[in-house]
Amino acid sequence: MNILSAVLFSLFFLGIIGVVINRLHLLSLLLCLELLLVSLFLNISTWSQIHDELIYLNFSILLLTFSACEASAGLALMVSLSRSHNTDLLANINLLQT
Amino acid sequence: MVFYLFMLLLLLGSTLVFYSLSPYYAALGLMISSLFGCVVLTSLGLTFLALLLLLIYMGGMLVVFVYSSALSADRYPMVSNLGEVVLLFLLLSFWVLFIFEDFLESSTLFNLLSPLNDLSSLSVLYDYGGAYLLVGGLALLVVLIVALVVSYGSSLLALRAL
Repeated sequence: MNILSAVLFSLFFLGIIGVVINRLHLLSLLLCLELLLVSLFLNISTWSQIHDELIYLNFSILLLTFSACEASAGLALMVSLSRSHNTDLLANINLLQT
Repeated sequence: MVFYLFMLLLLLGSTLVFYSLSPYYAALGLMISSLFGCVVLTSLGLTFLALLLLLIYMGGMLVVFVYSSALSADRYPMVSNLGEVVLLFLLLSFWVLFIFEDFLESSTLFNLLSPLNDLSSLSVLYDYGGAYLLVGGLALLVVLIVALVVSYGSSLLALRAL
């Protein structure tokens, strides 16, 4: 495996693990989600450029558009949470706990 | 050789996003990651995608993330764990360098006569892929309305400043 594939692989898995294991802030989770989408964009673009399949460059631009949609929806949720609880700490979202 | 340094700096940015205690440092790490991702894309010949990532992603979305972290993160953030971040970065870079077996072909990197693949594939989006353009625009309109409705909220909860 060459070094570019290894670095992009580890970027993807750091993003996934950062979304799954998150302790403190909701904004850290959203930033790890953005890292995941950036890694997907870089992966698809480099793979299609190296292997000369040019249709997927088009797809990666659309992926960037939909990642913007997703980020703004997540930020709207975080703003609503921050206005209700005055913080976005994950330990404060315990209204439905028994 | 410089290309390998840029990719290791990309890895440093991503470990900063993953392992930092405060979202301020995570936003900084995401900026570093997207900047060196642009450098990687430029060295492969995809200059338009690098420009797109820099202008739209880093100049639009990350600025919005920085404003949101000013809104909702801690006022006095925790003392940073920079030593642990550097240690994790060194471990990951050693792992990357150990499984590195074959080289990228030297004809793919820094090719000054590469064709403009990204521009010619973007033109398909306007010609045969007009439906995808329409759906993307409608999705952005829907997300605008969603963001306004969600952050407006109901008036039944406390702490309704801003």
